[in-house]
This record gives sequence, C-alpha cells and structure tokens, in this order.
Amino acid sequence: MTETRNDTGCWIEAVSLPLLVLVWYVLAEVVDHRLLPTPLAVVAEMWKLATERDLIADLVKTLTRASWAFVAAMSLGVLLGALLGRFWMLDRLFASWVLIGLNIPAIVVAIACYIWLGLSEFALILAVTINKTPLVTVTMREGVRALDPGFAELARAYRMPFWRKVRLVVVPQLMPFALTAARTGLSLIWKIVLVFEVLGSDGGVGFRIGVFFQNFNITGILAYTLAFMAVVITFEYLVMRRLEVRILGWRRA
Amino acid sequence: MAKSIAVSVQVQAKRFLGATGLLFDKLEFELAEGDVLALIGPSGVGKSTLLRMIAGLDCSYEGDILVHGQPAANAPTPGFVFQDPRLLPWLDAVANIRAVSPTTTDAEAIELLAGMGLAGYERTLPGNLSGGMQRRVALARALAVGPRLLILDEPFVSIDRKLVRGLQDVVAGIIERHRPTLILVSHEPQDAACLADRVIQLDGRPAQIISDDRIEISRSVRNRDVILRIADQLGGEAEANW
Repeated sequence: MTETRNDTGCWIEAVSLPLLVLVWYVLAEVVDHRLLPTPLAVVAEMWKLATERDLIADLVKTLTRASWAFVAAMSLGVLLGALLGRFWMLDRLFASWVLIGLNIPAIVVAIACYIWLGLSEFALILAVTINKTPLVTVTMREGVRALDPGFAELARAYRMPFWRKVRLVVVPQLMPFALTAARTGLSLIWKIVLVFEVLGSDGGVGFRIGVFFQNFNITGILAYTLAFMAVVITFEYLVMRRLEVRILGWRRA
Repeated sequence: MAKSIAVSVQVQAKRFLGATGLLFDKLEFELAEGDVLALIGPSGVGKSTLLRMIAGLDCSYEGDILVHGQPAANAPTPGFVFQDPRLLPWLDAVANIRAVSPTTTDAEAIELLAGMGLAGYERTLPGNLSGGMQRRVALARALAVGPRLLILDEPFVSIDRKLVRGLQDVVAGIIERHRPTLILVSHEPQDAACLADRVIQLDGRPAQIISDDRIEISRSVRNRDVILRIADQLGGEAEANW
C-alpha cells in the first residue's frame, strides 16, 4: 500500500515541473509576448546569454556568495542554537536579540552593512549571514531542546566519553533539525542574495536582473531566473535529497 | 570462602527531586560478588531510582553506595538494561553494541547477538526489530562492556508474557555463562522466582526493606511448578502489603 503510494507520488512529482511549463506556455500565448515570453523564447535567450554574455560568470558569482553566506550562517547558527538550547539563562538573555534578528527587515540589514562597510563582497555576505543566522539558531535551539534525555542517560550509564557521545548520540538527533535549517536557509539565501545584489554589487544574477529591469527586458530577467532556478532544483535533487536519504534513512525503519 | 562484596548500599536519606519528604530513609544492604538480586515492590516505591543510584546516574543522596569498593559514579561501567530497550534508532544492532563498547569488534558483537538468538539481524535497524528482539539487543549491549555488575530495570515489562519466558531463559543463560553480579527490578514475583537467588522487597514511604530472602533452590531445577510456588510465596507476602 505504502509502496504504491510512494510510486504514485514519484510519478506525480515527475509531472509537476512539465505542468508548470505548460501553464507558463498557455499564459504566454494568452498575454502579450513582450510581457510574458514563451518558455522556448526564454530558453533561447538563456542559451544566448550563456554563450555570448556573462550568465555563467554571474551565476558563479552569486552561487559563491550564497555558499559563503550559507556556510557562515549554518556554522554560527548551529553554535548559537546549541548554546541557547543547552543553557536556559543564555536563552533568556538573548531571547529578544533572536526575536529582533528574526524580524528585522533584510533590506535594513543590507543597507546598514553597505553604509558601514562599503559596497563590498564582504558586506553583502555579512548581510546575508546576519539575516539567515537567527533562523538557523532558532531551529537548532529547538533541536537541542528536543534531545532525548533517555539517550543522555544511556551515555552516562555506559560512561561514554564526551566526543563519542556527541558523535553517536547527540549529532544524529540534531540532524533532522540541521537539515530543516539548511533547506529553509538555502531557500532564504537564494532570495536575499539576489535582492542584495540588486541593491549594490558589481555582478551576479541579482545585479544583472537589476540591469534588465532598467531596460524592461523581461526575457533577460526570465532567462536569468530560469538558469538560477535550474541550479537550485539540481542542488535540491542531487544534493539535499540524497543527503536526506543518507542521513535520515533510519527514520523509515 | 566468603565472597567479596560487589555492592554496598548505605543510604542515610534520599529525597524526592523537587519535593519534600524522603524516598529512602536508612536503606542498607550488601550484595556479594556473583549474587543475583531481585528488587521487588509496588510502583513508585523507588526501585528504579535505587538502580540509578547504584549505576552512578543519581548521586543526590546522603550516604554511600560502593560498587566493587568504589563510589558508584566512579565504578567500572555496569551493564545497564533500561525499562525501554533504549537502542539508538540510527544505528544497527552491531553498531548499537559498539557504540557503548568501542573495544568490542564487529565479530564479537555478532557473536553476542547470535548468543541472544539474533543471528541474521546484525545489520538491522532497531525500528525493524520486534520489542522482544530489541530487548535482546539491549542485553547483548549490556554484556559487551564485560560488566562485573549487570543491572536490569524491569526488562520484561510491557512485553507479551509468552515472550517473557524466552527472555528469562536468555537472562538465565547469561547468569550461567558470565556469572555477573546482577540486580533485577521487577513487578512480577515470578521474574524474581525464576532468576534470583536473593529477593529484597521494598515498601512504604520512605521505602523500607520489608523482607530480604534467599532462594536456596538451584536455578537449574526451577521448573514451572517450582517458580510458581516461589512466586506465590513472594507474591502472597507482597499482595498483603501492596
């Protein structure tokens, strides 16, 4: 029964993307092509931009920024989340910091970083990191709070050394939370990196989309968006899902 | 020749966590090396708490608990089987054993599992094992540390009574083969009657030792009738007090 459901689910998911393209195609046929070009026109433009212009270089630039911000935000967020989850006094002390961090508009952080540090690569990555870290912190804090005290007692009963306990008992319990944080983090970072690039950078997908916007070039905007989405989807299927199966496969047992 | 003392419990007072009143007040007994002790008594009397104190997991009491001459918290690692099997669900059976006993090789872990009747389940995740099988893995894990003291906290609770007999045989086999000092907590007098050679009954508040009996009949001749007769004696007394 479950297998049938899983198989059907895979088929439905496989249809999902072509269905979106079909809807896009129909809509493009209905409205003016200057406002919404067809998928084919966008793919052709994407090919042209990739072979004759800077699409690949821009993509690499944006992905590099997103990667640095992701690594920094995850590292910082995991550390802070572990501390806040473990020590209630720290949690109380920094409760309002976390709340402010979660709710402060991303654009404000970006502008402040640009003003304080100049329109630099570092300022952009720092701004993205500051925006993302509170979300990772909160997710990991919940993970630490949810640690099973029974397993901690097991580790104590068998006199497990600290690092062995961390590796075999604590980290596996935190992995579902870390993966959730990574996934939500990536989706957030993809978006805000582009916004910050529009605001102030010398290249990248966001920067180029900003230029296309000034020229009302919707085909160029969609071509860059499509290329970017292709990278995101590839990453999701080739990295995130495989990682999930590998790390959380035991949950199906 | 007198056996050496494996466990010495000299607890002057143990208070409830976060509450007033005493759980134990002057609880004193000793356990000789190789003895199999069953602690029985009503729910909430403090049997599991006492096990945790002996295992060095709870040190908030007045008095001393020595295990093989050392304070419980610093004593050699005991083999501890909790009420729930408490297997790490992300590790297979062999890895669960090696998690608590890194010096145990894969081959030794597999042999321990085979001794529990779990040949072929070495690489199975706990989620794919039945409750009884999980308990046997937990027993194998406890044995892997080569314990001089084996602590079983209600190892037969919440499983089918038909399976209990098989598990009791497994524990009896462990006692015969490994000869550890063993402390078993149970609600069921027949568990004590089947496995123990000494039975301490706890009751009251604060908990007191209301009886401390030796079962002189050898385990090897304890058939069903003998076990029921011993259990009747233990249970009869217990019922009168519970």
